[in-house]
Amino acid sequence: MEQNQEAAWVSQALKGDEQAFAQLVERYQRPVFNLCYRMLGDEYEAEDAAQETFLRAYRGLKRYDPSRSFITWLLSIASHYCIDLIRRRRMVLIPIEALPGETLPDPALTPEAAVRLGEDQQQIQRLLATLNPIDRSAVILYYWYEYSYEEIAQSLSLTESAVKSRLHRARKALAGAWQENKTGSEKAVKRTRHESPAF
Amino acid sequence: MNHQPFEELIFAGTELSLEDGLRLQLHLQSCEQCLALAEAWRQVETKISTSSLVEPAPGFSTRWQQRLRQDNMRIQRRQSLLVFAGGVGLALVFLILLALTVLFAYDSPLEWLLTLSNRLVVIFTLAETFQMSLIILQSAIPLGWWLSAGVAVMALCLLWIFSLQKLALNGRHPS
Repeated sequence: MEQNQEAAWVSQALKGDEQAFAQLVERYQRPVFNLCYRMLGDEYEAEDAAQETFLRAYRGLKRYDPSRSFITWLLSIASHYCIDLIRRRRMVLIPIEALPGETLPDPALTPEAAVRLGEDQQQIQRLLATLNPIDRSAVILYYWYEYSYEEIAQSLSLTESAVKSRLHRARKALAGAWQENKTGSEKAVKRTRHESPAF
Repeated sequence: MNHQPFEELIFAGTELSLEDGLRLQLHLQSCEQCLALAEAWRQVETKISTSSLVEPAPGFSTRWQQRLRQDNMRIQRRQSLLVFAGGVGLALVFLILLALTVLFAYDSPLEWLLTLSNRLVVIFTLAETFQMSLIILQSAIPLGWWLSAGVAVMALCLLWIFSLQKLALNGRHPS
């Protein structure tokens, strides 16, 4: 039923119906925005990248193959766009402590829960930021979207074995970054304990 | 000790076979380094798996539609500019070709100047004849008719400017 509806919206959008495409934007805004946010780590940049993704999808709708899932196609566009954006920024690997964190508080949560959630998001973003853009994208598609190796390979224009090796490398890097972060925090706590109080 | 085969198992990302699982467990009991790595990965995996999808601020699709309209305008402006630049380019090529034709059609600059002055005399004579015929027409046609014709020409000019602005500069936006 949902797929029929989606196919109808795609077909109407192909005829130039903006409203039909706006329905697709409404339906898939969350997964696309989440991917962009996880890739870029900044709410405003993620909004811009997600908007650009939908714009590119709308302009390139003729290239969409209806036998593939529409959301997979969208996420593929978003991944490539974010990877290009990060490369253009000439982002180098930054020490984990130096990375800024973003919080996205949910108004429905209590202040304590919102702070805790914000800290968790921040921690995850810091970890993801230690990965190179393609590895990061593979990790996001694998863990947040539960994509198979084959789907990730299709989305990122890689081979399945390349995806497996990238994920393996990314897992190791994430665990290493986690350990480093933990050691850094423990050192900071020790330093604070032994320092004289500031007056 | 070679930790590589055990790291392969820790970061395999899939369910391990019974044999591999036991082999890894045995190694972790005696290797603090791999145990710390396995524990770190377990914590990261838990963190990721409990993290939900983040949502954009409300009104995302409305903002997208606004952006699409702006993008349409930008594309139309660029197309208008391209058409204008193409027109100017063609006119320039035409003028250059005309200038070359004129230059090669005459033997000397004096001959060219004489022909030009002759042509100007013809143009001025034609303009004078047109002026005379207008004076005759002015006395033959009543003033009211002249005013009506003037108003009609002005209305057509306004219509032309309005349609040019609407179609070429701003573009057509389906609601």
